[in-house]
Amino acid sequence: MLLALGFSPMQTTMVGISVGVATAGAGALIGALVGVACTPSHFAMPSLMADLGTIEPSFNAIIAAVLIGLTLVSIALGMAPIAWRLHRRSVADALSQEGR
Amino acid sequence: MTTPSIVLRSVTKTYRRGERRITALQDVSFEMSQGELALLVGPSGSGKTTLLNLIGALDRPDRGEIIVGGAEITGLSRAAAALYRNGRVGFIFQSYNLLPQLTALENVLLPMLPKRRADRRRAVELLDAVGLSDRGSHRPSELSGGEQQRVAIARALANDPAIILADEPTGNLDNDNACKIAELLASACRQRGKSLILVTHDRDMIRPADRVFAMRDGSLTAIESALAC
Repeated sequence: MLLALGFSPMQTTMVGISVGVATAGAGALIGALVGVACTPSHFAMPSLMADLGTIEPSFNAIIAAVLIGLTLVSIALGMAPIAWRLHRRSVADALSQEGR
Repeated sequence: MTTPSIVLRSVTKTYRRGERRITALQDVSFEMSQGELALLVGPSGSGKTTLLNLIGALDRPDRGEIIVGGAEITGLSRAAAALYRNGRVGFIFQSYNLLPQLTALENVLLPMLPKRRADRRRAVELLDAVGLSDRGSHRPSELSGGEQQRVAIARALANDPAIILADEPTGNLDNDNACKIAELLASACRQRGKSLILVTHDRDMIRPADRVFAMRDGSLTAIESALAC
């Protein structure tokens, strides 16, 4: 629909990505806040492999980077068909697909 | 004689459906002057929406010329076509196509965003002109069908385009609302000197329309001028 209003295919794609990032960001933020609020002060999980001892869950930069990476890949995969349609087919085709 | 604002010359458009080629438009030619109100009538599948899409640069013809405001639009790049749609054309759809997350006012402001000149005062004036001055903060889900189409009319006028293309704008409305919306659309276009092409099944939707283009099987079968209803 944005295409019919005069947004270019690039602007339309950017709007989609922005909405995706905002939605994923809001979800991650809410999840993090819930995690912080609900995390017990001390928690250790016994390992099924006795020689590893107990496993303490932790959150660090690597885990954050993996989560952000997974989010961006999900958004890219979600946007790919739309970007492809906008690039390869007419706007009228893209609009009729949107209406289905 | 006034200079025509929309000129179509031998416009042909075909679609491929699997192995078959379907001719949506066949050698369609006509001219319209600025400020004319035209109805485009015909049975389903006769090519009305395809014609509207081509004039709105949402699609390209296989053959022929489309000249709007003196400029050929068939060869526009995607970016140039987007600029053309944004500045010169206002679209109104049967299913309103408002963004559900935005308020009525924000929906009217939306076409102004690509040019980065969101004129809030103009958007408020347009909502006022369509009788929705008190509904600007409402989301589409809080508006009736008729009200949503009024918002869509205000949105179509947002960038002061020369042409309004309306694809069955009253198709989802009851008779009473359909008449009101058609009257509102016609008067808004007449007051502002816009050219209007309105796709409809009802020849009496605008009284009087300046022209009626009748289509069948992708061809213009009749052009009636200054129809007096």
